[in-house]
Amino acid sequence: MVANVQIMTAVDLALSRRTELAYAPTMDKVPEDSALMLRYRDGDVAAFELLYQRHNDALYRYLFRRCQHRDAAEDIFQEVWGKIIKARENYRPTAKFTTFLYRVAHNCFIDHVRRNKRHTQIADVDPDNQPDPADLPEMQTERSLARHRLIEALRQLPDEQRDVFLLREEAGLSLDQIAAVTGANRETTKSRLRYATNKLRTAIDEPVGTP
Amino acid sequence: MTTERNTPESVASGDSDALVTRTYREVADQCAPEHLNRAILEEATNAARPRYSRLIAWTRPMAWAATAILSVALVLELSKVPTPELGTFERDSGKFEVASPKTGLADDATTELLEESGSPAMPPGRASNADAEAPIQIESMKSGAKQSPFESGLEKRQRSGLQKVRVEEQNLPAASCSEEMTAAPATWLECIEDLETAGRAEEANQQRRQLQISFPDFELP
Repeated sequence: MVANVQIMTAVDLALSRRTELAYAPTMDKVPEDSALMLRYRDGDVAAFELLYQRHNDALYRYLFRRCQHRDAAEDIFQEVWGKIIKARENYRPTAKFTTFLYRVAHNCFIDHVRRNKRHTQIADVDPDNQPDPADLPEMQTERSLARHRLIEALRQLPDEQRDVFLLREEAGLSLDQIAAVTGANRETTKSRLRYATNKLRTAIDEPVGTP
Repeated sequence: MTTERNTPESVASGDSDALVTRTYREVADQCAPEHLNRAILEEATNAARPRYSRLIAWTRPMAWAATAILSVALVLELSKVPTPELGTFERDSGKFEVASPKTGLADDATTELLEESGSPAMPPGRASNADAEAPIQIESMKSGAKQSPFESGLEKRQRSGLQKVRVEEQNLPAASCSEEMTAAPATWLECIEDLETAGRAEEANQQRRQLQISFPDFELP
């Protein structure tokens, strides 16, 4: 009986984990990503198109949430894929492609911040996440308010914590992979993710009516 | 809503909060702009396209092959020892025959020098070496041609011999008539005539003037 309960718990955890991974479709297709990249290196453009379709939206959201500015996100997005295209000739599948891709994106974002010192000033307003007056009745619902508070809390997170959270949610990277992308050690990465998650959870759990 | 809070173990192991994840998914609906998709895929297509079309793909290996062939030919041409037909050395007679016409003292001196070096007194081994390396380029030596960086040791020796001959030419005595001959005007005049016969006209004229100075009473013919 106890054994059955343990098995059921394991299955539930696996299903729960599977649901999470479904959001990040690259997690269980890493070898295929590397194979696609190698095929593209050999001139197969269709392989790159498939690779691009797998990662383009998640990468764009990662950059959009990090930049909090659409134009900057688009610039960096294009820069990242340009570097991936140029790196095809020297690409070696020593690491997972997703880790490689987001490391390039992480570095491009850092370069962008260094080039534009006003990065923190342009992130004040995100037109996509401002409540539309037409949606006000819906905004009154608890879920809508929770989403709105999550976005606000995500925006106010420290950059390192937001980076770790987005790498976890958008790229589906593990702690070790996130550590490899950000250059931090595993414990630091774990701590940042815990802080970020707690802050976002606290923001979601705020009672209705609280700004 | 609060019932979806993750266990402390899951958070500690690095897993995100399920509620946070689910809420984030609901708001994460942004997609990459279509114009960016087109631009990037076009860039990828252009990058994967070969730089040279198949029609002109043969030009690159052809250019490399042509360059290699020309380089080898140039090196062989520069390293090849020239073989002019200007002179031959006859080992039996110990005489060097110059095919070109004599042009003056330099020819004589060169011929004499070569006769000396190729004389029967020369060791047989050396003579055979000279025979093997002959014919010798004389014309370039006479005209003082520029020294080639690829000239052989034989050419260097020949050129140094020619320079020695020229130095000897420049050091020839102005008056070749001995004091015994200049003691009497008649013998002096004979010496002058010998100089004229030998083609040394300028020296003969000089001796003639000195004869007039030394013997003003003597009437020259």
